Amino acid sequence: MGAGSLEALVTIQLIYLIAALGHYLPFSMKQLDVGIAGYVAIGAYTSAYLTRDCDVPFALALVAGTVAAAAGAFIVDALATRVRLTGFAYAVFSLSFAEALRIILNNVEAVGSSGGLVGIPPHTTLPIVAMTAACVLAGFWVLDRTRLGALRTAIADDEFIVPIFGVPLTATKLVIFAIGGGLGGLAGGLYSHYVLFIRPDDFGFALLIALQLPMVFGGLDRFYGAVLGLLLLGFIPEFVRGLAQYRLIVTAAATLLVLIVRPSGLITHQTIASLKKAFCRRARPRGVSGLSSDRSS
Amino acid sequence: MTMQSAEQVPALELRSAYVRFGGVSAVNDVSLRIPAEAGISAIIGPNGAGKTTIFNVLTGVIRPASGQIMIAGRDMTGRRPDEIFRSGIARTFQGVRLFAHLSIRDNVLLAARSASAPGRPGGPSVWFDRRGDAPRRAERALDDVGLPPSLWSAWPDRLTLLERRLAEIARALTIGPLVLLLDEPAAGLNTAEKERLCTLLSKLTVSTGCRIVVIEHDMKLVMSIAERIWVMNFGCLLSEGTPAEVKTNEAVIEAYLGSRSHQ
Repeated sequence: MGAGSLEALVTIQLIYLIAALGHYLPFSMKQLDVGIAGYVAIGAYTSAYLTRDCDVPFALALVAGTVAAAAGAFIVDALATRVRLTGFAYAVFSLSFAEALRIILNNVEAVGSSGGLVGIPPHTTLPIVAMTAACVLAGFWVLDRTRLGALRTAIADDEFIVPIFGVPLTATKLVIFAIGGGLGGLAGGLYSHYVLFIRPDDFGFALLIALQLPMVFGGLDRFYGAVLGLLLLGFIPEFVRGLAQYRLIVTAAATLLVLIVRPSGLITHQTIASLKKAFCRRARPRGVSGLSSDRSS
Repeated sequence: MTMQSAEQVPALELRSAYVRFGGVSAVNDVSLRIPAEAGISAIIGPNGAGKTTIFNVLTGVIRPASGQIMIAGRDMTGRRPDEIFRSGIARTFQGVRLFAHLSIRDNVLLAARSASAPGRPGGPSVWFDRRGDAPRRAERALDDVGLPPSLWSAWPDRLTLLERRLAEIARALTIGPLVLLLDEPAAGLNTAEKERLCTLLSKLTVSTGCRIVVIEHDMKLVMSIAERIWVMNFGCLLSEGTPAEVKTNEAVIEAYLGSRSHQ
């Protein structure tokens, strides 16, 4: 494997990482927003159009793409929340948005319709992507330690009682949805200025699957689950390149194995808890002044 | 607004509320007044009488088909649950509902942070701790209910039922509630634990000055701690009064207590 192709692989994988983390955010609240391909498309097209046709500086175009995608996610999720969609209905709604957007883009002349948008100026480099990804990861680390992070866990645990403790549930969810969509848009902007040619069909169901699988591997409970999943899925097939066309079988087999052995993913709340316990083995002090002894289920 | 003195305005008032689930009338013209004085009151009644529905109406989870909710003299009818919590109505749940993957401390802190946010509805202020005293208030609430610090970092599933109940009460206490609504706080506890809980509730009314309303099936417990009792059946308020009055009310005896021999 040449240095050039390794660089390309790492760059693309890091861009996928940003998008996967964006996709992870709604899922971390157990909300099935699967419109991520649409949000990536919004970011990719917005920023590419701005740099190619309007001579907007790259950084500004990236920001514009991010904001546009965040707005897209906000609108989609505000509509879905407004009509109280849950579960699969939510998934179908958000997926329909992504697919509708893809079909619309296929028919808009200004962005090259189905022929795609060509001649996007090359701006994305590995250092830029690496730095962005590092910032996003740091942002997630910080988020887990803020109130918004705790609210994310609380919403996943028991959405119904969150508002009863003074939290405006819909607003909180929409903010997290918007951050997720924004990350998708950011990844899209980086992607379009790296591959220099985008077609609407790049942002179809295949992209969703590529971003969903890391979460199947890593689990929904921790953001580094998605990171681990992406590492496994992105790099391992490259290292069994010798299997040539059979590489995908390895991926499929690994996915099935994870689903059978660890249906909640490799990293769960329980995993973290048992790791913590293993590292600091301390006897749990007895309960409230010894009176409460019986444990209910 | 009329010039009423603060003592005369009830802390929480429900005015002729109706709730219907499909064809079933779950709450039928129920009015409750929880007066401004600190103390413990109770709602009793058979299963399906509409007791929990009343709590859901009072906390904004269910919008009544008609009726009014007044909190400290302010009309809060139709407001969202988070606004009602921030205006001082806190509750626990039938069957403990703590956030399973947040530590006890984080469970309580989540509510404490809402409380410190200025009450602008839906504003981003709710996501930040402006006053910065939320951790201190969370710890004080945990202290008030008597949970030792050694349990604060544990997840709820490591705790006994009583400890989880206490954590739930601590979570509700963080806002310094006007009214604390406890949904069957003693269910599933043994006699010693029930005693401990009763002592705590009496202590809380004194130390925090809040008004406590319990839904409870244990008649002995209710009769011993409650100063005022509402009796419900089939969504209607059957009777209201002191334990002694309720005990002797014929309609109540027939509907709920079953027979005099229970007394």
